[in-house]
Amino acid sequence: MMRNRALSVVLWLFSLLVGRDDREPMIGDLLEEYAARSRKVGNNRAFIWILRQACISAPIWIRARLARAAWPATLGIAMLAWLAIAVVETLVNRATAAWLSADEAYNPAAMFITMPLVMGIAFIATRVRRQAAAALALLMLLAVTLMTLTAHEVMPLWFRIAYFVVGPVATWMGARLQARFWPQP
Amino acid sequence: MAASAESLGSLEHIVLLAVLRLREDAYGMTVLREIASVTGRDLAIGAVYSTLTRLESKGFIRSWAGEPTAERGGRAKRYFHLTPAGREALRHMRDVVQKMSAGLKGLQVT
Repeated sequence: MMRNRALSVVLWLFSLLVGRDDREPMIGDLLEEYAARSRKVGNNRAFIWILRQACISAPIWIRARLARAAWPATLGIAMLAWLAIAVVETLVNRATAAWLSADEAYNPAAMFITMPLVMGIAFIATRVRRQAAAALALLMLLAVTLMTLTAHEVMPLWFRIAYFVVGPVATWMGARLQARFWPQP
Repeated sequence: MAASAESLGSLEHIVLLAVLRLREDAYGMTVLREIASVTGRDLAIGAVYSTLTRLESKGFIRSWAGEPTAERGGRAKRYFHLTPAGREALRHMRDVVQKMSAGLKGLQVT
């Protein structure tokens, strides 16, 4: 009785990890092998075999599920794109401050130059993962909101509005360009 | 064809050969048993199934559901068989091994 319950628990844990297509046939295979081993070597050793199979198969299934899951990859691409934007933005801010002798922090020229570059990065990110641009736009909005709420310095109003609008709009435009000129099958 | 055959990993190669050896009786557990009895490798059932799924997505094998049986708690078997692309991939691997082995007098490496 106890053994049956333990077997059910192990198989249930197994079914949580296994993909939907493989679940039924694989649990059937395990039950078939359990019955064959029980007849040959007894219930205890058959149960140990199933337990061992569960332990050595679990990392394989977890890895497969993570690889199949779309969101970690999409989020990863969005974060890489964000990093690229941060680098581009810093370089553009420095360059425009040096060439135009403008304020490095609040410079409309830098924003105009950065916008097409953000579009380009979003364009590439969308090529890699279809939803990456949407994730990037959300990340940008979240970051800008947090920065606005926590910043101690006084930002010009135009800068606040532009900061909220420019990044996500440029990202959206990059994704639209990607869909328009290089649609994925 | 050569490109997809080159992408055959060593476990994929062994699993594909096991499916070929088992003919009409190739399903997860028999593939596991066949590999264990021929090579002595004690594989995880998860590794066998994930390899079979990968091979199916590459078009080297095809699967279909068998009849459910009481011994399996009413669950059906998932049978596998080789596709022409799978046979071609195996042929390509065999040719590669034969070419690489040609002219070697014995395979002693020490």
